[in-house]
Amino acid sequence: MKTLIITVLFGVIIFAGCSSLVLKPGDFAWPIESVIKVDSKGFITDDRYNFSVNVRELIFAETQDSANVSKVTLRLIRDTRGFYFVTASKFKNVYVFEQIDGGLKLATKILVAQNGLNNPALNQRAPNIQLLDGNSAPILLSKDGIAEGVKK
Amino acid sequence: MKTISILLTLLVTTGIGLFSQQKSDYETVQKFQNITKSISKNIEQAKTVQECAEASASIDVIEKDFLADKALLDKAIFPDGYGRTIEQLRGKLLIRQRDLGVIESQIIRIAELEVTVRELSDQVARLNVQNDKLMADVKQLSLNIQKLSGDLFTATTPIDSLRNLVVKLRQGLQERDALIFALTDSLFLQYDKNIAGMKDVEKQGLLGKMEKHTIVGNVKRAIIDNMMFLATTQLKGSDLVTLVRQQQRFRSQWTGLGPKIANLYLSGKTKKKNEVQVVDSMLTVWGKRVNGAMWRSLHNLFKDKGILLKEFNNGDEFVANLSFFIEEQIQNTAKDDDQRYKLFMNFNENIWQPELRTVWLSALVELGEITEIQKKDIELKVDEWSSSVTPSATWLIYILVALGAAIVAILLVRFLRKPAKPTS
Repeated sequence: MKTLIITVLFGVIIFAGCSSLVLKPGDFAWPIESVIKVDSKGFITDDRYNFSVNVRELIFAETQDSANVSKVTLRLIRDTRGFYFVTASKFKNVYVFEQIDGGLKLATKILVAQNGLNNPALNQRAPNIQLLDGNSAPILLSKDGIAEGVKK
Repeated sequence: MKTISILLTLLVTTGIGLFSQQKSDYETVQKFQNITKSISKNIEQAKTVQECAEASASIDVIEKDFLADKALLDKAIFPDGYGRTIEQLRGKLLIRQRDLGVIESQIIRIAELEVTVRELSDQVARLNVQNDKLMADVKQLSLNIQKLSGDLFTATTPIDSLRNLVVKLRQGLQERDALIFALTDSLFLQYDKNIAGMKDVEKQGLLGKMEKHTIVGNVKRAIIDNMMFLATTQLKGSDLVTLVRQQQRFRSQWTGLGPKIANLYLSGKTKKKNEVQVVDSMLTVWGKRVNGAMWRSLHNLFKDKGILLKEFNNGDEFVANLSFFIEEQIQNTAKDDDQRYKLFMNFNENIWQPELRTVWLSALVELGEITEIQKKDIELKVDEWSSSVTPSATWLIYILVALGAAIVAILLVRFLRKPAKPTS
């Protein structure tokens, strides 16, 4: 019994020291989208926020073509919770990514235009992201999908 | 169900209105940054007080235009934001002004004129669009009415809406003509000196501004529109006098402006050196057309009342032909007195009193088509014609006087013949 009590106490002390430290609330929203041309190696580099990431897989997922990556100009914006919303002209979807160790991981793929977007733009409308496409009705997006508005 | 569908329609239409107002934040920021970059470059390259003033006015405009996006710009443009970007431009301009030795009061005055120029230029552009639409409406309506009644502007034709349109269009054209010259004046005022006294760089600057605000283009457009208005509306009488007056005012303003522009073109490298001559010839054509229409209208005034005058195309011919006609009537004693009297009364009641004496003669003097002496001469001749056909009153007066005298004499005789009352 004595041994059991000592073991439990020891465990409590050990786990208390290892519990994750959470910093909340946070606001990671970018005021405006970044419009970045993909380079020949499939990288996008943002000077203002000082990051770069390879998007070859994303372009292949959307267009089934990874050869002509450098012709694509991506538009991306980060919402208040820190998720990255990415799309481009002719894309049918808006991709929502979350940051992981050394990269971005797809959180949601939101179908917004069956025939592809013509002239998309992403606006920060906290807590959502607004998707514009020419004269079409704007769509409000969250990491879970379409928050308001209808897909085309 | 009907109510629901109406509500849905309303929602959709309102929604469309709202959607069309949506704009990309990125584009707004890009636009602001591009304009500020361009102003900054202009400040660096400014060599004259006018260029500094233009930059100053541009800063004012951008500050006003983007005020609604201040919150976005403050966040998006790091670290300066909206306020500091504008502030930096002003600072840069101040340094440039000091380098050039420009006095601040000069800048303020010229910047104010620059703002006026921009406002006037916008107004001219707006009026161009408005007048084009009115002209198209007038043409369409005239065509419809002509199809229906075969004539325009007769008292019996229901053309109130057309008249209103014509009045609006004429006002629009007049306003636009005045604005073009006000705009040009404001441009020249910025330089505050004769073209001959300007440096080459100033001449180039002024020429550039004139091109930017399409001064000569607007003058040409104004002339074309006025000629089209004349042809489309087929106005008569005093309306035409107004148009002649407008053409003369335009010509006189152009006479003041044309040589200055010609001087500028001569000093520049532009290929538009004969633009001024083109405007001169267009003005001559406009003048001929509007004058021709006026003389035709005056001739028709006589013709419509059955009086046949020889045709005339200018003031001297008009005076000569009318005088000849009146002389003929005075001396034509062979005709029946009654016929002569009727002809005069027709002239007097239908032409002379309501139109010729009250409207046309004064207008023709004002327009410089006839002189005051010629006007007086016509008036005297009409008086002479009047006395030659009106039955003379002299014999009537004699009869009346004689009759009066007779009555007095009879009364006097009766009074004197009264027997004296017998005395008791």
